[in-house]
Amino acid sequence: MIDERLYEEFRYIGRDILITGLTSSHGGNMSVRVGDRIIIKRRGAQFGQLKPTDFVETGLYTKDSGIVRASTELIVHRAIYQKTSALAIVHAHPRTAIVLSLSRDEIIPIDNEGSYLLRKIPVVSVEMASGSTEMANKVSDALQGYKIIMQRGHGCFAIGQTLEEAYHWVSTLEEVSDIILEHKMLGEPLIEYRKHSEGYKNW
Amino acid sequence: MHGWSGKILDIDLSSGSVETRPLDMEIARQFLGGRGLGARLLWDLVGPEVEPLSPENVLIFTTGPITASASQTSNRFNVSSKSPLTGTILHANSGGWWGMQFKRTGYDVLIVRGRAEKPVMIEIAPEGVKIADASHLWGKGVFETTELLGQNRNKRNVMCIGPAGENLVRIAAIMNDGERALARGGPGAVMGSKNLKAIVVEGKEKNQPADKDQFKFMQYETGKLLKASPLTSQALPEFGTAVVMNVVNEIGALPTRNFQQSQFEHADRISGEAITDEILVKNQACWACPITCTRISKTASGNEGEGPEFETAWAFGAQCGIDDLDLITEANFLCNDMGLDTIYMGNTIGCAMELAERGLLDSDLRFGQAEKLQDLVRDTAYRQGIGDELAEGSVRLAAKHGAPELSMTVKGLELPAYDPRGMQGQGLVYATSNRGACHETGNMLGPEVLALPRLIDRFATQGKAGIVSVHQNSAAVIDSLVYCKFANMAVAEEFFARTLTAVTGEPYTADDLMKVGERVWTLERLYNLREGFTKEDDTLPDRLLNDPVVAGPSAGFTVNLAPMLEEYYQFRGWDENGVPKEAKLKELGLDTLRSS
Amino acid sequence: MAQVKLFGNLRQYYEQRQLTAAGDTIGAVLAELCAESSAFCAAVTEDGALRPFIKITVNGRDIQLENGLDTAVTDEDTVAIFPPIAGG
Repeated sequence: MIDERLYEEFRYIGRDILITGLTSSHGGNMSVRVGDRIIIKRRGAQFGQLKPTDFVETGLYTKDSGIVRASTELIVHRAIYQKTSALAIVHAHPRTAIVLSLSRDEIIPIDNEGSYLLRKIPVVSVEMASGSTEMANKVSDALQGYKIIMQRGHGCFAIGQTLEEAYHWVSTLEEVSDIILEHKMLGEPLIEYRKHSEGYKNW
Repeated sequence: MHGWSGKILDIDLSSGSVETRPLDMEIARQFLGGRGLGARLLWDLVGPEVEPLSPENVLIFTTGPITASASQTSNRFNVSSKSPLTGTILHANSGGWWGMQFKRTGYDVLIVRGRAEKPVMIEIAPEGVKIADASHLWGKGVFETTELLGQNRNKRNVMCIGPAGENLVRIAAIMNDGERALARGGPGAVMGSKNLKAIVVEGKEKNQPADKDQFKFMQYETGKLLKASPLTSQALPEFGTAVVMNVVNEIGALPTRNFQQSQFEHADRISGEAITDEILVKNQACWACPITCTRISKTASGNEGEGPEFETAWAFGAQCGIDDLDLITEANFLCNDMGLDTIYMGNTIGCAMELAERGLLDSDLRFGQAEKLQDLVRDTAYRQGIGDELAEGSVRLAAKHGAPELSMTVKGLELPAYDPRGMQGQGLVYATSNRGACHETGNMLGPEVLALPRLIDRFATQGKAGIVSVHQNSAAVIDSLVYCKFANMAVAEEFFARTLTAVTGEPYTADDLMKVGERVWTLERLYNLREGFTKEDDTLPDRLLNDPVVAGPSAGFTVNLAPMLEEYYQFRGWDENGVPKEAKLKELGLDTLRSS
Repeated sequence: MAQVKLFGNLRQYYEQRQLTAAGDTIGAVLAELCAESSAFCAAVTEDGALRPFIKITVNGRDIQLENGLDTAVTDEDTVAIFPPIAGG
């Protein structure tokens, strides 16, 4: 079961995700892979108030007890762990990124740090959200080539070797999105300062 | 060619036949090149019945699809064989120029089989391939041989063995471009057993990208990252690989005096800082590499050459209780000239020193005797005196003198420069590495010490198996492309995937590459299982499992291997005996291999 | 006074490789060192935080896994400060 070090990491990251406004009090979720098991935040547990009892351990492939209390998006997490080399997943609802996802098929950073770290964030569209097979397939497929992706109108999924790494991509995505939005609101033409930036379009 | 020429050069030294065969492109796509392709070809060619030093063993030299493309660090190549030291699968890779030049001859792979009646060399040039007499070179050192055969930076490159390989020393290296080594596992002995002194290459063909614009973009982006990272743009150029000596020592993970301690009181005297202050002449780069981590050093006697790297400075230094950087460097140069693996050499000398101090080996050898290093290296290469015992490896040495537990090896291969009692994940890396104890197959220095990509607790065990597996898979695919692992400190797999796509014209994602890495790792595992290795071999020396570190930051720790190993098998989809399950083999497309 | 060891190119900023500091946290120790050399300060910190890949240990334990710049330091402790390093 979850050891103290891992619990501490969940707790810190959960709190940070909440206070930096990347999700609502109960929205989104996180998980890590240990061996052929998944440890995932319980459905309805508050991001900012995680307790050791707020986690459910379940199999990577098999259905077993505990699943009823696990996040409704467990199926998506399973698919991601099966198809990618992710060891940790953070799913959050960053609001500016969600706004951009409503009118774009990809988010391409215009700031320096975002370009450097992410280059491009694809947006996938899913008809049936919240833990459908379609969502599991589309999200996990997209994450084979990118470390963070947006699901249109819903939120982002980020992967990493640790929760902190995945959290870093989520936080970067929201900064990227804020900058794009504010630049758009300003309404002035972009002065391109990045050589070969047209390449990001094909990233 | 766009990535692959599609040709294998197949030479049988027994019959003298030289053939060109097509490369099975389905296999190339599954294993890419380098270490992966080598393992796949070896699977078909060398079974359990083959003695490593018999004519039936083969040497498979492989390049990767990005080799010679001019993508940053695209100079590396691999050799695969069955190890005469360990009996496991052998893979070793090297940088420099030779790999790039061989690719330019228009072949992806060179297979050498059989045994010549007398010493020979192979020359591959635009005019053709020939097997020539090399009697006049037999007995000569690597430096002289390389020069006599006309080594010329970008135009003509020499790979050869020294006296150690000729004398079938089980840890002999194959040396390319004078001072670069295909070292671990003893490939030089296999080459020596074939009476093959050297392979010289000159090529004119080019590995041109299928998508030139995308390739240029990737070169630009890759260059930007290598420049932006302080690791690849400052640390490695300024101090070389031995810059990690002090940090590994400071955290209590620097094996000292045959792993009796985990800190060396004179670590600073053998560190990258000391090398830069005292003996560095200049730094140097391999072909198409902006990192320039190679040290060119000069000793008090006026000898000048490459080295020492971190592992070498540790092996002749802390492992032997020696702090004389000048004599460590001389021993390094001599290993290069004799064609010997420096990690093995220093580690085994450390074992002999402990045996002697404990009165188990009749010798006045003691820890700290720097003045004896060069004689010991030379004696090993020529199998003289105690050198004849050192040449057999520390497993055989320690067993012969009644103390097998003093051999610091896994699966018969000597441990490198990290004490896993202070880096639990590194312990799992050593225990599960397919070629025996090795850090290059999944180094935990990044996550457990340098915070690459993120810092994880080096004493923790839960969750380590996943991180170790991911690093092992990543290392396996980098060795198959073939890129340099130092580039990977700044450049992630998603860049390698996109460059590979630009070169070959075939789409690859980062996860496609990780899947190749997992496939390579699993095939190597199957190879070792077929050779008779079992779960019992996934272990560490008793000292690391049972004797807690006595002093320093890692005091009180042993390696808590059992829970990590259990989690590791589960992560990899292997059963409790460490055998890959059918479902995993199917997923990786390896199920047909096992049943065949 | 705690012992402070500097490594790699951080040694260029001071006469000695081994210094002493009175601060009772890593943050306070850094402030002392910064007061002596602004070049050192610029190499190690940026806007009051550590630069990426700067590694600091107290008796061999990485402060990232302790309390960061608030990690306590006593007179018996040894602090080691490393610039970005790579290799192996």
